[in-house]
Amino acid sequence: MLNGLVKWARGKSPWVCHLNCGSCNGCDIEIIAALMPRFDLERLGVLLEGTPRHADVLMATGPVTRQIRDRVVRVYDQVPDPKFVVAVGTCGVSGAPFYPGYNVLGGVDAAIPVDMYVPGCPARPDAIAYGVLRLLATLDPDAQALVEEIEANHDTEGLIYTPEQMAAQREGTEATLGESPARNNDAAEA
Amino acid sequence: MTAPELVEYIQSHYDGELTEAEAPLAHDCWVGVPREDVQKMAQFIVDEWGPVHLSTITGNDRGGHIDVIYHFVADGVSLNLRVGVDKAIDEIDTITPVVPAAIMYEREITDMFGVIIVGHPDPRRLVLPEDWPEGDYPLRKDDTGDEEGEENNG
Amino acid sequence: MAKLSFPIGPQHPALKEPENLRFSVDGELVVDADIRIGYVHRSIERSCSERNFVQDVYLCERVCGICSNAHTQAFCLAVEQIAEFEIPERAQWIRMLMHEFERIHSHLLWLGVAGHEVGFESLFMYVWRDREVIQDILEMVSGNRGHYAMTILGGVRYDITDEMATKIREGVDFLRGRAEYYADIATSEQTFLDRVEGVGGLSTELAHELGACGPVQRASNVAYDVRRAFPYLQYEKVDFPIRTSELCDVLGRTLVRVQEVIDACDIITQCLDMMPEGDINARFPRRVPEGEATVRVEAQRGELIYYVRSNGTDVPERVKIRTPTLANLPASLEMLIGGQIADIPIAFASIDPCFSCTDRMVVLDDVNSGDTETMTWPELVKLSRNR
Repeated sequence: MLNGLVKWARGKSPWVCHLNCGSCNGCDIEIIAALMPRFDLERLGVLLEGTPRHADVLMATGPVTRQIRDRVVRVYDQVPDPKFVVAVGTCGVSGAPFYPGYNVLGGVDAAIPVDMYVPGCPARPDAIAYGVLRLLATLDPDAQALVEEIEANHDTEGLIYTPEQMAAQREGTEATLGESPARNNDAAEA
Repeated sequence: MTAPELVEYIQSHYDGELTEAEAPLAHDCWVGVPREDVQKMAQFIVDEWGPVHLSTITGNDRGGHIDVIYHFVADGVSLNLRVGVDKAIDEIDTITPVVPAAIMYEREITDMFGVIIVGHPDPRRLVLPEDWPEGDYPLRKDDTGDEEGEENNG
Repeated sequence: MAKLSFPIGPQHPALKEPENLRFSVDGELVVDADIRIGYVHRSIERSCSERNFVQDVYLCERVCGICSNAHTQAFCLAVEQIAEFEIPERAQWIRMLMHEFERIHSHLLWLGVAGHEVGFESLFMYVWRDREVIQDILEMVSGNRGHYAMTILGGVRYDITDEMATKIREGVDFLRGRAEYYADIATSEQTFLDRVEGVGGLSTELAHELGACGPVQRASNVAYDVRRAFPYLQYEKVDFPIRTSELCDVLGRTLVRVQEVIDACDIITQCLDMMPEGDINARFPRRVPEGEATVRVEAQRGELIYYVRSNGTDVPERVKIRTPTLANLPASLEMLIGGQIADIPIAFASIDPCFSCTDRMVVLDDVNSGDTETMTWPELVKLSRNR
């Protein structure tokens, strides 16, 4: 009963905590823009939360720098289970173009596990909204219906990547690029 | 004052050795002094045109020596003061007592190039992550720290 | 009461970016402030001297997601100065347009954040709604909402068509009206004034001494604007004042920024009027002759300086970037000392800090020394329960 309630509340109103792992600010601004009157993620119940202890979804941006890695892991540990991590922006996806700098470790998944990748430089607010919605769809049937409606009417190809798609993508890229560390993600220009 | 006039003024009024003095553009000039005279020159600039704006201090590894360039704005002219620091010596006097704005830029030079700033009021280690190895300077070309970087990226 | 030292950050609701501030407080008064940054250090300067000039434009753009165009602007100007390359006149005007669009977008963003920091949430929402107008213009011109990639070596990437120009004029007229409205709010709304008047003071002498720049410096009554001091592009031909304020506090900085939004709108209109027809870019050689250049531009946050040295190949020998936030940091710590704890976020935000800019290079570490006592989290909990 309680579990059902918690799941319902999570699906209807996920609280988001924003975490900057070394980003250039571009994606951070777009996350805020997604919550502002124009795109208004709050109408879907998404609320920006200051502390990770209250959050359900961690929105992480930027390549993970050497100095912040431990802090990222610490913040991740503070988020109560079940938790989602959304890697926002191409840097958060792979660390490019700062990878392989001496102080850059790679994408967000170099430090913590990631559930959804939203590429783009910077990631667009609509892509961020769609990524969050896709995560909610796993919890909430209403969100699932919304996702189906969006997918029927819009081209969502390449807007976001699930971890499975990401793994497949990486395999492909590494095979073609060989030694080169620069991974090019065709950003979601939708 | 234009840059050529400024260079001329320095040449006629500054009583030390100049290793370089030229004005390639109307608002941009380059002046060089030996390593020992950096504080004297900074004092001269402040006395003549104060309050001056120090934009930044650039370091550049030129192989045998490290160029330390102080970018001033003096009397509406961009005045770049170049000082060569031999890698065998690796030391330069601080100008922070004369130009307080230099405090952070001088720390940056120590961190990125390993040039010791003699007499700096606050010479603690300040650059890079806590676990960055001692004696490894990212922008110094003979000591690139590549191995360390590889290890961490792997 | 004994002096207490406490840290804020790196992850903290009052901060938008990771940085670690340490304060020594005596009751509610801040007696000492230190900062540790470097959480966003991405090794850009070294990467720049490992990639070629064309790739560096891409990389420099990503130094910062807010003032990205100012960075490419400065880098391209520096490289073009070394190569003694003159870009087409129309390209210069378009670069100026982008420069001013970005100033509007950044200042509005800052105004919203300032509203948020003083608890004026409706200002935050209103400003960010209006900011979407300029975002739409940027997207229309360049195709992206951030990292516009407009400035390339040898000119700009896209042209401004007549249709775009009409839309830009409409948008700018709307924004001018809104900016005037915000200027009115900032000077008449008592709840806002109570939080910003006399907060975060920085005297003219200190601003000079600590090398502050941009709106922070101008709000301390120092009339220095790179667009006037070292005119680049076509800034000599347009008419705009250097906005200064004698207030030397957060209110002064707010007013300077809002006034600059209005000025930027005027500059944009002048640019559209004066822009000649012609090419928008010219072929830039792959190899850049040996030489060096120091270029300053007036980014939104203040003076941005690039030093580029080329050794005759297609890879620069050294690219040095000094961003405005680093220059303003010593001043910002000075503003916090002597203030209230509750004023820390707004006083600190008043320099419009941008650590993604600053951290590519420098870390400041200042561990509290002397007679202060460090408390661990459990100790603090115990203390609070005992009270």
